[in-house]
Amino acid sequence: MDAILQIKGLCKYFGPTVANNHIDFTLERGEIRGLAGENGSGKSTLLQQIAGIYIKDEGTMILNGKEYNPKNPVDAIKNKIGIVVQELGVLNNLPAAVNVFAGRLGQFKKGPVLDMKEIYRQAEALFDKYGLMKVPFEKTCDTMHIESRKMVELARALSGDPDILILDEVTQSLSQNNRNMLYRLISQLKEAGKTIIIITHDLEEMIEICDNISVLRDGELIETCSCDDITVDRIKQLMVGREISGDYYRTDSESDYSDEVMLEVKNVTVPDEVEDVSFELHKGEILGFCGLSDSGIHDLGKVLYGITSYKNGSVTLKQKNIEIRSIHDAISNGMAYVPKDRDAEALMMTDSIASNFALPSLDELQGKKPYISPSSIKQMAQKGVDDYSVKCSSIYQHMDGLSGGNKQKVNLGRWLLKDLDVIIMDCPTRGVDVSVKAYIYHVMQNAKKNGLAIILISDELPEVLGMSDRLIVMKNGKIRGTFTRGENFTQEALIEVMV
Amino acid sequence: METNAIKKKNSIKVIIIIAVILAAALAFNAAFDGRFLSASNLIVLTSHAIIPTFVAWGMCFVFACDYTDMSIGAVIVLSANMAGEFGLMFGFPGVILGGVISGIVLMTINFLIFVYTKIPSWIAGIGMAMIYEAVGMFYSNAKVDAGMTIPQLDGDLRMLGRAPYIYIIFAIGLVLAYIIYNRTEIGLNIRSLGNGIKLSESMGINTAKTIIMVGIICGFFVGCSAFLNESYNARLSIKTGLTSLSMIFQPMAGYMLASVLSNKINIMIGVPICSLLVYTIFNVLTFLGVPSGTWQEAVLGIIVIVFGVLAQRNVKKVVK
Repeated sequence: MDAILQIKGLCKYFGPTVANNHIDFTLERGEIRGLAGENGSGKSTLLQQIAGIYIKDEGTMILNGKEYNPKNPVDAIKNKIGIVVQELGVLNNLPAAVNVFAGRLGQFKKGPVLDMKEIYRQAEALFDKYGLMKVPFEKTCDTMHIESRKMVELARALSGDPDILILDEVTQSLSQNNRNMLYRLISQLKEAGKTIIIITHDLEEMIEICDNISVLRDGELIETCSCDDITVDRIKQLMVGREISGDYYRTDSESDYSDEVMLEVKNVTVPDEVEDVSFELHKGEILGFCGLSDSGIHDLGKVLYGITSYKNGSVTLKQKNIEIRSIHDAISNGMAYVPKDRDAEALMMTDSIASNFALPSLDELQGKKPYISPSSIKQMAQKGVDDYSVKCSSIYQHMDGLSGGNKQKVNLGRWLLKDLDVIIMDCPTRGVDVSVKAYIYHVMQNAKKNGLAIILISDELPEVLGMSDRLIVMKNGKIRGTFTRGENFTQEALIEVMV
Repeated sequence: METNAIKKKNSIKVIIIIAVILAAALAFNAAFDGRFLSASNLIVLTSHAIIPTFVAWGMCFVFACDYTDMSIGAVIVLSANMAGEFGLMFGFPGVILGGVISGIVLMTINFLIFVYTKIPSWIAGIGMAMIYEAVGMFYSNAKVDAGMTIPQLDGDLRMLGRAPYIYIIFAIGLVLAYIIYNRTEIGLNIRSLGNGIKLSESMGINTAKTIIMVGIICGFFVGCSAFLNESYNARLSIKTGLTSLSMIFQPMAGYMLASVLSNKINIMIGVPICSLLVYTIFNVLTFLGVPSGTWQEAVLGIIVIVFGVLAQRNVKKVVK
């Protein structure tokens, strides 16, 4: 065996919190290692120390037989370690190609000036070399979709020709076609003798891709096991420290919802996003949407909620006979939206859990009074924290101190506390661990039972298949097929329409 | 994805905007008996627009990294007086170096304070404006005590503020601003700071060094504006009571309008065009007999707000 990286007694502290506690970890050359653990178990912290984003507090790292202490990510790249981080890490106001080489632009200097053409050319060559989905290199990243930005991050990590590539929940942001591309890339890199560390909450995917899996719990490394003799249930058990039984998804095999139409969408068109989209959403129905990247599913969510205005067609709440043209129309008539990018588009990250719970319900909290009483906010937030089992020190803890799963509980819970008719959920389980995922599905099923009409937009086929009553497949902004639970409701049938 | 149809539509919009501006200019010219587009008026217009253009270029770097510096007006006043002081001693080199070096030194002090004190830059900037105004006052009083006044450039030494020299300096400034902002490592690093210090650091960018470089680069352009101001106007009186703040509004309006158009035209090229447009509005107001000092300043305030609103359209976060 040829160890490329050895970690001994690694510790990382954030104030009183022990994020990594004396971790011993050895990585073999050419190995694909999975890291599993609940949100907040210390996986990302461990990898970010290897990648130079965090500086370790204690312990040693030996890379290729020499002590390794990266001061920053560029230092890590110089040592042939690349990382794609969980949350988006691109410079939005700079061109994609500049992002790929940011921090190392000096290599493109011609005198005092940068050779921009060479930057664009090398970025394109890099994308070609690894078969990455092409992005417009000269455009700034803020004009791109989340998936394209992830491609830029991936290219950045690959730009140093890494011997160790770290992928922290990359697949969660990708649609099926780009996931397949990533799987091909991983096997290509393995064949070339590269080492890869992967974090993904999709445990089936992890077992499929990896050679070995290390499980972390409460900042400690619990066990490392071979993927040849481990099951998903065993990993879950190691992750949470007890047995987890039962399925994530719905167990019924037939669609089950009322005939009452809650939302009617007729011939909606937004140039370059969605075209002539029509469907009905019923009371107590979970209507899934899936498609490849640029299929328009995420854009459609924004259109339905009034964030993006549509040119033609109509979006109507049938029971109230109200056309949705703006976010205000949507919120004031019992609609809610949970976006894919929760940190940037949904939550106030530097504000408290209490404020985040209160935000969508300020009118209700104020009532007829001239002010909002702090006690009513406190009461509501405490109920939200209790009902949705948010792990926090208090309702006044800031959002940016919560794990991904707990942030999503707040994001979802604050809407479900309200009296809603329709909720649009865009990738509601993105970046959350198995136990939170199971919890969110449980919450969705309860909401469905109570008559809530749910639109579930997802890049994960098992999720939409597992939860939806009906499923709409989109391609290039248009509806390509509609499937009903119980009738040819399989992944193969969906993929045939998607591609 | 942007299709050809959208590109074509955008091009048509730009052509319409240019056509409207030209039509308005011709209409004003006709209304004012050909005085608006006369050679002498055009020279006055462009020369006047060049001075705030340099300040607006400096502001582009400050705003790009998410900082705000309210002391730029006070820096201009001090630097212009240093340009005058050294100009009287050493001639043209003194005018240029006196202004530029003072601008660089003062703006670098500001950015060192921003980096190391961690005070929000707009608060620290106001504090520095008060200090620089006070320094200006001490300097002015010292001159009076010595039986002199603040420096005043005489005929020949003012040449840099006249055509064709002011246009040559403008051309050099445009090339430098464009290249530094778009084609240098430091320019791109400065722009990366606009995404947050943490993210830039995680990309391996030396953020403290980059922020200080913002001070140096901005100071260079502010210093250029200062010596041009001194050359054009012969002297620049000392400001007190934070009145130096009003000196940044005109360049700010030019910067904001340029940032509105930055999707269509590079901001460094847009800045002089927009500064010219802003100054043209003042010129038209003068032709219309609107008094300066009251109504023209009110119009400037409205322009800043309108351009600020336009700059904010389709942007999720609030414009700095």
